[in-house]
Amino acid sequence: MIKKNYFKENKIEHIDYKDVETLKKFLTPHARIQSRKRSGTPSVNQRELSMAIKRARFLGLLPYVSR
Amino acid sequence: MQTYEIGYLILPSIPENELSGITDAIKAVVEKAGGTVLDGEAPFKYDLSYTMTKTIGASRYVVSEAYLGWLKFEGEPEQAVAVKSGLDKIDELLRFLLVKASRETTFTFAKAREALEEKEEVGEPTSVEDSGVAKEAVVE
Repeated sequence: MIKKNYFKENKIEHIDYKDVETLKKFLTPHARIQSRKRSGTPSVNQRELSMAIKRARFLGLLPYVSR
Repeated sequence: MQTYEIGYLILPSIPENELSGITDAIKAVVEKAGGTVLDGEAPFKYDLSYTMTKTIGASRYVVSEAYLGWLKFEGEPEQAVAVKSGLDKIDELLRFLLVKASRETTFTFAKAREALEEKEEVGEPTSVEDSGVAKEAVVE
């Protein structure tokens, strides 16, 4: 399977916690963070992504749990 | 020098014409600490993903929406600590997030809204007739 890097393709250098629409793509239906294996995100981006999601959760932009 | 960003939520019980007073208070806290304000966006009403509570004195507020805004400033790490303790004293703030950020702004809510609207326009049927036909087909 070819791994796709969403952030490289869309030229996103800095993953912002306010960018909810992008972050939502990397959540499971239960609002958990998708694994790298599932999303194909490189480790550098995955670390930045998880930080951004956790910040967005704190500010109420994303849920901690869903359903 | 380091660039910091404050993301903040203001209690929804505050009337909209008083919001500028609170954003000015936040800016004043930053400037008092010795930081320079670089960028920011005015707060707007936002439906939160979960309910939050804030206790002021004896009263407890449970809210499911808030005014969301952000502000970027530059300063020394000690100044950021002073900003944090200053913001803690503003009662109207439901929550705030003080984080390190890059100097250039790559994301704004205004830009995101524009992009979303464009996407929706593209997604809509091109002509009214087409949508009518589609509806009829569904009905049949």
